[in-house]
Amino acid sequence: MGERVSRHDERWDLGGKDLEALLREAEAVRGESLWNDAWRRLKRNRASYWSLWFLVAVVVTSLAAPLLPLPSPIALHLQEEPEAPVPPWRAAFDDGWDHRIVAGFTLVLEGGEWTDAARAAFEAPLREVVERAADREVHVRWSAEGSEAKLELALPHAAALLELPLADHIADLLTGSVAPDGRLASADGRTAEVEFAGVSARSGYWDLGPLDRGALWLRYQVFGFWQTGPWLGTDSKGRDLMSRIVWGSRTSIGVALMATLCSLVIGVTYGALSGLLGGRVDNAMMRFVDILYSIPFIFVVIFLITIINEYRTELADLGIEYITVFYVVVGAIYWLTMARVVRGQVLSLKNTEFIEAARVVGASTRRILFVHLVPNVLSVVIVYLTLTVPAVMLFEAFLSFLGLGVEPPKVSWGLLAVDSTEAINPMKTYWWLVAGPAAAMGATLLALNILGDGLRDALDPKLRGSE
Amino acid sequence: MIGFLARRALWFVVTLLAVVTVSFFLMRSVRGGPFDADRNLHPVIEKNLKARYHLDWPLWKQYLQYIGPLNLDEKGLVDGDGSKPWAGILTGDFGPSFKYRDFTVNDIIGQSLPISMALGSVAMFWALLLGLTTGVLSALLRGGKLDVSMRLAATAGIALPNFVIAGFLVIGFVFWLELLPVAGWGSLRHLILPGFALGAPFAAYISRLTRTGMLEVLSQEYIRTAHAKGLRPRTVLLRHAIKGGILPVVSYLGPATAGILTGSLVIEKIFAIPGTGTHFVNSALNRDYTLAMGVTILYTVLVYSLNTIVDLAYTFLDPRIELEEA
Repeated sequence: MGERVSRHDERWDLGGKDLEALLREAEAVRGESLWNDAWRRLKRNRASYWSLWFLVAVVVTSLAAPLLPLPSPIALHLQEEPEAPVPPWRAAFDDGWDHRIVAGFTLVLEGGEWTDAARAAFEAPLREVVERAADREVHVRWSAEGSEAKLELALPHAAALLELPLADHIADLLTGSVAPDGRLASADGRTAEVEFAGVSARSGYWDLGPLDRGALWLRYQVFGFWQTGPWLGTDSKGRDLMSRIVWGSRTSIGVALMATLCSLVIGVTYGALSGLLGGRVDNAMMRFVDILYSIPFIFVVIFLITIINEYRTELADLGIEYITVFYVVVGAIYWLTMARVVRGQVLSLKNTEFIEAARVVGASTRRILFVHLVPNVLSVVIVYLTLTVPAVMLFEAFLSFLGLGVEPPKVSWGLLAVDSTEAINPMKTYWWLVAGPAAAMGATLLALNILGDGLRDALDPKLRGSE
Repeated sequence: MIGFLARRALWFVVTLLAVVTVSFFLMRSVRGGPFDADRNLHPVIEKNLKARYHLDWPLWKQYLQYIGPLNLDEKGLVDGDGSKPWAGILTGDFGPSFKYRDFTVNDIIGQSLPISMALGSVAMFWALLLGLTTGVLSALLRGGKLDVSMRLAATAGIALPNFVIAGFLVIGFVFWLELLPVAGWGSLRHLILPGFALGAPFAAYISRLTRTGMLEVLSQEYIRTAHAKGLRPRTVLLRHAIKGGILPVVSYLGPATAGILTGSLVIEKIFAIPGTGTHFVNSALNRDYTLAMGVTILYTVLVYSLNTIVDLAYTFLDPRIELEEA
């Protein structure tokens, strides 16, 4: 390229107008931006539009999971008999006992059965100890059968996860001070054998980050221990299915987004480089992608994941969570198509007339890159992303199914789907275990697919209706 | 054509070498070996076992032995039964399985591959049958209720994981209608449900491809010409439209085959079908090096050659396409 010539020095045939007027005119008839246009088209496509809002709702719900008054997703209700899954609407949980700090006692009354008066007499001293230790009033639950009774004292406003040290403190106090000889006498002269069963602090959650703990704290401030019932039923371990679906969505959506981001970064960089450099480099880079394409990736991934599993403790020492590596591995697979798509787009855009026109008008390279190239590539990328996310979610489910994905106690939709297939047996079919997760997953993936199709039509009208 | 095949063959060798090398070293570099899960073995026994399978050699030597028809073992024949542990994959010998002690990998694959192939064929049959018919119907009845519902079903089929579909099928056809056996292997009836669950997502995709392909073809001028010269609508459809309309499906058959092979890992597990997929997952988890490698190589070969066949078929169907690339 020679020296840049100032526009005013050139003598073009401007049809009688001077250049200034022409520029003013161009300024006045601003074309509609690609995005406004796309948004308008998308809104006209009702299915896609509502899919978008549905997805927004799903993401918001999953983010807000610790704020919602849901039962714990992992609290096993094994203190009762191992139970069969409960169908929706059948049984009710008691008010959040599964995730607070509970001091438990067993009492055997000597000579007689438990009456209300007897309960009150024995409850008072025990209660006093706990209340003094925790510095607040406690909730009481009795279950008596004949002369034997179970007494549980629960701390209000003390979600176990948030106040574990308090639980230890109470346990220490009770072990030393309550009825050292195992007998307790009430004020009205009765005696009972007392056994301190310990302080249970089932947190009801796995290790949550500080942000989630904060949200959980806020939840207990707002709702107290009120929680929703088993509206979608429970699974074979007595865990609430609705809660598991909501908490599971966090993992699944997290994996999907992170992995997609990974694939985005690798794919776009690789594809754009390949397209921009062109020629022999492009050829070599794309051949490499071709080779990777013909490898049955699931096998390599299974190898990789068994390897990562082997080094899990070392990774933990380095502060790397298994799940993070999982994201990266999954993301590292899905970049291939992205790279191809981006390369194709860059190649075809490089030589289009509007880029040439911009260059002729004297736009700088940076302007061409960011104003003309990026938005056009971006539209393709976004469309492809909405198709990658469901693919990754399916892949997560697939790996979880093989026991290589997300691990309990964490939940993910994949794991729920696995549980549901295990719940299918000829004796009795727990249909809600299949229906719930399948509906959640199916609806989300369906919405993503519909949105993807809609976005493709909206962003690239030329492609309308093609695959 | 010959040039195309030659180029394909060359890339095939490169790909295969990459797969073998990467998975070999990935697997062997991890700590823990195939004999870990057993009860604590006496050190001498363990040493002998490792020597038997050459696991005491340096990695590069194991690799060479695995690949080629070389005899690096100075003792020659190692085992009492007169067989060498392996002659190298170049001779088509995938070696003995580490977990199923009395079987070679070739035995295991020989037993399980026909099962997986049968399952895959049934799945492909379902996928093509359902996909093509619904796709063509959808295109012909464009905009009608049937079209809309079939498209919705197709999107759902793409969206749901195959094991969820399998769950619904089992509840419906096995427990509710009591028509089909729940799991296992033996008769054709055992194949219907797993094949359908495996093929469903591909049927959905094929349906969409067919619909768009058909719509495009139906708006072409040669179709109008065919109508204009008085051909019966059925003749126009079967003679002229379908051939062009299902072209996109043909090119999808390659990826679909790969997907069906992969998907059968899960389906085989659900329906307790003793196919190759089940063996692969178990072998990867148990460090059965040779079996896992054998299945990986097998699937790479299958996918690659099927893709090549599809590409060839494509040129026969559409002479405008030239075998330019790769």
